[in-house]
Amino acid sequence: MTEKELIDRLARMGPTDKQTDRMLERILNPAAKPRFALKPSYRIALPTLVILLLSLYWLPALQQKQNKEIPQLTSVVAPFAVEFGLPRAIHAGTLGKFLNYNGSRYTFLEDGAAYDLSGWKVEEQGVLGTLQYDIAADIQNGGTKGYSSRDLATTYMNGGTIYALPGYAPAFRLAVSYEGRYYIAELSGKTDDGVIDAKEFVSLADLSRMTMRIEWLDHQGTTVMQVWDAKKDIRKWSNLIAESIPIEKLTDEQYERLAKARSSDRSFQARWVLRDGTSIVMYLVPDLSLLTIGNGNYELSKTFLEMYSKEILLTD
Amino acid sequence: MEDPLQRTGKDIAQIYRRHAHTVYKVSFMLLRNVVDAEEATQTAFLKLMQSDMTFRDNEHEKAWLIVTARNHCRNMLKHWWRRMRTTLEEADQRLLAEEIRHDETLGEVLALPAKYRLPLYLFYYEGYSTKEIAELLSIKEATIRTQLHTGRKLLKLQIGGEGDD
Repeated sequence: MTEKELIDRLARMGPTDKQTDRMLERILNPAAKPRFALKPSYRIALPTLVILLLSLYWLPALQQKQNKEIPQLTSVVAPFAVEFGLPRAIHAGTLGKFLNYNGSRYTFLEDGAAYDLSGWKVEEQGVLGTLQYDIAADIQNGGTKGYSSRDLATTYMNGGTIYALPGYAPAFRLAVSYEGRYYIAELSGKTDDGVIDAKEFVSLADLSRMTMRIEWLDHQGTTVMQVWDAKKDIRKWSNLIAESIPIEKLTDEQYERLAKARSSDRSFQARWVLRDGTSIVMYLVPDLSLLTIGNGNYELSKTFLEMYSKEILLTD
Repeated sequence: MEDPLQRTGKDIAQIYRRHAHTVYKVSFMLLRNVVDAEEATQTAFLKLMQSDMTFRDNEHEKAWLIVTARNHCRNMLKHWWRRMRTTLEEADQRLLAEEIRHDETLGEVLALPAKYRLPLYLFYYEGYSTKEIAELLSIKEATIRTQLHTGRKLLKLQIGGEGDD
């Protein structure tokens, strides 16, 4: 028997849809007819057993050990629009909300929405810096000051204070405090436009532990076509994505093929839904063996393509 | 994650949709009986309704349900009343027979001794690591590795070992 055969057999174990519905009905409506009859004297035994099980003293302690606490990151205020008015030839309309810190570029989560970090004791982490260079203004003036590659420069919330986000590596996520509200920025590239090492990204984001499920969607992210939620699959995905090779610059031909793939529905999203309530989106074009994480492009490993091509093809 | 005092039928239904299949499969692996597996599944969720447990995330919630179902199954197997239970009505039997047509090949897995079945299921189907299974079942990791090794051997499983985790 192979592993696949074993998993197939286990998958066929049930429950059927009818069973699932029937059990739910009985849970929500315990007064419904019982599945089987017990002799009267034994009817006392069942509730007693339930009470005994509930009183098992070691159970809460066991669950404490199972997972480290992962607090939820919840956005509370919709993002503010960035006013560009930039020359079209430069970045018009494409300049996202990002900041530069310590040689890395961080993109604001949820397009710059504010997050509820009350109780996170962010200030106690110590100030990492103050955003003080306005990239958008610099670009409007022709980019002469070179803010786009300078640390502590930003396109959003200029004047904000940078803190470490408790529970996350500062090289992966930062908190920005501005006028009493908090914003979160996530690693997306390097200030010199270099590409982050895929293995480093996977490790900094702790994808193997933090991911609850991986969703495979069309390029626009509107249709979920496949979901991997088994820990084993998440680990495999993390390991294989980490093997991807950075592509410093795409050739004109690659750009053309990429554009063609996007327009002909051959480009997809892999959305890593994290346990903290946020998600990380990667773009994949299996036909071109191409992966995009943040601002960087990568060549997918052959092992990844071999392992997942069948499942991905099934969803075409 | 949720306020247990405000866990409504709707909340329970949502949790049920997330984990019913896992809880049922865990129960079935241990009890090898559709009727009992259904009962154990229902009991696990009924306990959740009665419990004031607060969960940190879906994984914590799932782990709690697995442990609860497993404990309930073990008690069911231990207790004398299980054997004394009156049989199902004939109509129910027929209904179940129509609904549930298990693949006969599953018998090979279910024929394994009980101590190998659950670790195999948790490792290969749910994707838990041996360390996680050990914590979940309160068994030493080395024991889990041995159980997986023996279980695989008995199934003549031509697959990778627990070193995968």
